[in-house]
Amino acid sequence: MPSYQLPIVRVLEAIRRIGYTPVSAILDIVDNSIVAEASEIKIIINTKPHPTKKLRQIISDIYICDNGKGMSPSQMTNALILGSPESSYDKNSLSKFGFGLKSAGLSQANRIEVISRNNRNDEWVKYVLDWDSIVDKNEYYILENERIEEVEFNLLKSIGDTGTIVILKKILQVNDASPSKMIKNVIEECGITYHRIIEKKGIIIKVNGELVEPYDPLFLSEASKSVNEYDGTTVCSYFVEPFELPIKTDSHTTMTLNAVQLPYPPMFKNEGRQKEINKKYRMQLKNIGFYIYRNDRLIAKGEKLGLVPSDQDYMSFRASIDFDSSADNDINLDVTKTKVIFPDYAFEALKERMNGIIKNSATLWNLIKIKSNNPNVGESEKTHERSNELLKNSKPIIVDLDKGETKPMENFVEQKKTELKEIYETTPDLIELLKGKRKRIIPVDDLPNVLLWKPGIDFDNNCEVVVYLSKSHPFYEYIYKKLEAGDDALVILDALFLNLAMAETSILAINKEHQKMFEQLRTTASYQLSKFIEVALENAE
Amino acid sequence: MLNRIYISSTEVASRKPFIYFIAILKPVALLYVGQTCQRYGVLGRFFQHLEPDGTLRNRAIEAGIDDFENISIIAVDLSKYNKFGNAYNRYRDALEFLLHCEMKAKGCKSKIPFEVISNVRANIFVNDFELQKLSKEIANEIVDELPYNK
Repeated sequence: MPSYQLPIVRVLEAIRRIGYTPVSAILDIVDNSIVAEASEIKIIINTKPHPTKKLRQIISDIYICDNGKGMSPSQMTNALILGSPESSYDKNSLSKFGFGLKSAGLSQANRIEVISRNNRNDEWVKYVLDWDSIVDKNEYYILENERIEEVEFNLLKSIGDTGTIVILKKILQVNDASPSKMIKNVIEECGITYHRIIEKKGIIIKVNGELVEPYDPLFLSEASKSVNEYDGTTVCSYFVEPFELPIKTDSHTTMTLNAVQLPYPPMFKNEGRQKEINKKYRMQLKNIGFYIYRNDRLIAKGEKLGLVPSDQDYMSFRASIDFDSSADNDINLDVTKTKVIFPDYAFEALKERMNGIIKNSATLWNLIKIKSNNPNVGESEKTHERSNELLKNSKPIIVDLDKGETKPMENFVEQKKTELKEIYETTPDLIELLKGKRKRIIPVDDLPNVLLWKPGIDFDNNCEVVVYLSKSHPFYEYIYKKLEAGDDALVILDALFLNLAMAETSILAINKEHQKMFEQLRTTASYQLSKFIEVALENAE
Repeated sequence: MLNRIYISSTEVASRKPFIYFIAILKPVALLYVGQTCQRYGVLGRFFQHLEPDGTLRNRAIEAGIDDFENISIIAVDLSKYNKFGNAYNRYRDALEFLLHCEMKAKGCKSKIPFEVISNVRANIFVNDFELQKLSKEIANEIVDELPYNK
């Protein structure tokens, strides 16, 4: 069988163009420092004047220095060989393919220099991968034991006994990165990418002398409340503790989810803090979505995964997905480690668990939006106040179609008090609710069997018919909570339910044999309505 | 060998709120999580599932399984918690949803890996922290009772 020699220059050309940005390339090299258990990592981005544009600066070289375990000469050779052996990586390593240093480095520069030692008694050694030499010789090779320059020796002194310096020289100006912007981006990206590692391991990362502060995009340290208590001013959590979902059953791999609802910035407008809140939480469309971590390192941020619309209503939604390198073979992860594709069963589980949360996030955003514009909207003491006032004199009647007349039923209901008491038993907590308030519309936390409404009789108050409304029925959640207290539409809805209740009690006062039928009617209608709102309506959305 | 059927509780046909787990071991390991508070209790619901057009049968067919053997059901009586009573109950729906999702991860970690095939739907109560804690508690306890870990 014939063998063919790889066109090494063309292969390398392809590898250096696999999609690194200047920042992601630097971070990929920082990953190696973390794997080497460095406690301090310094990134130095040097500049020089632009050759043609007088006032502009360009990047001259980039140093990534760490005080980690360092490498022996053979390990340095391994690190610079294409596709370093898999055995070089620990289980929880941030590395994966053995391409990181070469592909990341060559994506930004034509020369990668590595200085390292793993024993304080050894000399520092410098190995170099030089693109121009490879092109000249049309051969992949590493320059060994190169001379260490004075500036590099000075850096090594500040490192300590062991560690590594990676230097990117002959920077490709194809990316034309503005140095100041790039330095700012590296600081920001290090803060978010390694926030868990900085927080957990206390690693210090400095970029051109500036200390990198960790930035958790989910603000989990602030998320002590449940989303059910969300009022738009604090971060609330969807999970009492991180939620585990499958990745692949056969290989026993799982992922862990977290999800939060960030504050609604306009809530801070009156205090003059809206801008500050927007900045703190980075409230931008690109930041909505999932933050994916592998071994505690953020590998993808603001991923929509086809589940979250890039829409203002979802601005407060953020979730994290965590997995470790044991799932590497089950998750499709690219060389730059920034794109993730989940297997079908995992994705379906994720979709199933998160869909409701994502919808809920938009509902909450809109609810708080309405509330912040009008404090009278939503559930409050005042919600049914106007209805109670307007309906206070409503009396039960019967419309007799045969006789073509209406008949007042108020006295009849009172006469049948004993029989009706058996049907509309008033529990002690409801008696407490009714006490001296003359309310006709009584919202309650829940009614049995998903009932939306249920008649009641205030036996201590002239046997007035009242109606209980379940606040946990989807109808109440979707309609009542979005209406302003005392709004005509809300009053009309209240009138509808009270009239249904009065009609039912009037008919039962005449013939209590219909009791079962009415119960069935309310249960069936409430159940159907609940399913319509929760299933049909949501699916239509 | 005789074909034997085990029923270990007198409550199996009681009208009580239950969360139940139907475990199929062969030809593939599948789990169905459901809830009921109907007249003949878990037994009545199990019977409906096994009928030709039952939900379990349909879900199994969707998962590519025409017939199954070695099936067992474990139920958790929820009547000690006030909020799960009545024929229709959204808290029970929410608990069913949470357990369905919890068991998916458990299916990855058991000796015999299993997939969860129930048909569930989330509602607003799945965000309730107390309910989430309860579902974790039930999932952690029940997973060792399932045939996949024996």
